[in-house]
Amino acid sequence: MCETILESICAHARQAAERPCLIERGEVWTYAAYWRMILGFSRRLQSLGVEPGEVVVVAAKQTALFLAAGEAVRLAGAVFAPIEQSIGADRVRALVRMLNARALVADENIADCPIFARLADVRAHAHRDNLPTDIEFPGADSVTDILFTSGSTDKPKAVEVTAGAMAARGLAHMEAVGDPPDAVEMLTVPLNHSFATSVYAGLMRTGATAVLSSGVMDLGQMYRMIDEHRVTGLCLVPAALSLILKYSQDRFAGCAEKLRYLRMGGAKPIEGDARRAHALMPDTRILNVYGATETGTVFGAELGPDGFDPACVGRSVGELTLKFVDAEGREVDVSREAPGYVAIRSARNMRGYFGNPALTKSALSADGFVRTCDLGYLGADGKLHLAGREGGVLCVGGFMVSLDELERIARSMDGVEDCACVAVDDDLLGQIPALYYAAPEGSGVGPQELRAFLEAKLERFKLPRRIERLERIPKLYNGKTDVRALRG
Amino acid sequence: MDELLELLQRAVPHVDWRNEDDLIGRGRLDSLDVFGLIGELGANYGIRILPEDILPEHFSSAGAIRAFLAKYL
Repeated sequence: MCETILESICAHARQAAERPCLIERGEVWTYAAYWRMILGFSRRLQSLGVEPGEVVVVAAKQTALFLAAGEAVRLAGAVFAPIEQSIGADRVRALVRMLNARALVADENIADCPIFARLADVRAHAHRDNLPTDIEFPGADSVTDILFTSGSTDKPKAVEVTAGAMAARGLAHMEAVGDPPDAVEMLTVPLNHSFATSVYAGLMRTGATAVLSSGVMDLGQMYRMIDEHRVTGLCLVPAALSLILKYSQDRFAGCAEKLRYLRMGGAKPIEGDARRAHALMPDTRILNVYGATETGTVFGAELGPDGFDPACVGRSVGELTLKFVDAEGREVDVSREAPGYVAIRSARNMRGYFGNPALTKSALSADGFVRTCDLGYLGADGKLHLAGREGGVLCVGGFMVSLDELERIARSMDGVEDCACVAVDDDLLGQIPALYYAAPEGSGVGPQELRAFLEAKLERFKLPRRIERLERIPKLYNGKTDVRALRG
Repeated sequence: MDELLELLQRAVPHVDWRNEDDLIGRGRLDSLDVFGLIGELGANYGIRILPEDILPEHFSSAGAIRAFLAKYL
């Protein structure tokens, strides 16, 4: 058994060279072709001066070139740090500084990195000669990935994942669907998202095929690719399923015979949608997985046979130890009425937070348990039930959004006198962030100006779905924001 | 401003529909914006946009939306 995903890809490239590995709009990459891109671009990075252990930031795209760039970084012994593609130059520069990154791989050189490589050039550097046999792979214990998460703070946290942990994350995902090597799974979740990185790892480990799609944004193409490439599984966030059902229910039902499973993750499933999907596709398994960037996928439920309770995340996936702790990390007895923080120990756990030993210590105990931000308890059915989340953070369409961060940045705009960001109910996404602000007459801060200011400083998915100007922000007697009044 | 531009501006006010393009590529519209637009266009013109037409290139600018809408009107 290969210890890392890179070793698996290399092995498949030798043993099943012509098997489709990645498919995107109009292009099919075999394992051999993919491996040649990885090999060639890895050498290119080394020739540019990238050294083992250094961080390489790569702007994410839903393409094979992006994935190849990531594997090439890992093969060079460096650390792959994918970032959201829609963030502005200021934000990219800030992340590059935070990680002390040596190189940037993107469409444009928008940060002050010592080394820059264009993502489009990955293809041009593909290895063309005979494949070498003396490849040195990163060890399972080497940190190869940095994934960003908002978690419970208003600052992005850079989660370090080792090559071995990533392989274990992949294994857990494939075990959840029965490990089929003939799987052709469509990934509609952004490829820099922790959920997608694990599913991709699982597909590569098994020698299966990943079909890359922009999902609901490209719905017409998504259906075309499901038909054309005989997609057997669909990986998506619950909000995407809502949109699919709302706008293309009949077309979706027409895929029932092809799709063996839907793999949902990143956010709580929506009960009504799961029921509708099950009714439309009674023979298609609907899996919902639960985990954190820090832990990888750790629990999974099959909606339908297991019921449709969105708060129940099912049984453990793969080998792990579960316990419940209080805010100080002490193990506690829990019940439905008195839940505790979910804490996990497994081979999938993060190494820690990049450059932040204090934060690492607060989340990762000396005996290897990661304390998540989720509160939960084990039901009489032996399944994990979630009962809420540490305050201040919302999961919007599979992404963590910090209300505190939104508020802090909005407040920093000249002319904004006061503001408050609260969670409000939304039919599609469950809850969304709504930003309310007060600005004096003549300040020139309208909702559009404030949005443009936030756009320059935040990832696209973090932007509030609603921005409203008020005469003043309602307060409680103690000076705190009256959240209830804002929610109406 | 014509009727379509007014509708687009009302539905997604953070975009300058008269002057901006490459709205998907530049991340100015996300999937929720696009589906919000689909809902508005459907309600306003009494049409049902087919899944096959939900493609990024059809929503990249006001001109692109106008062009693909023509087949429904």
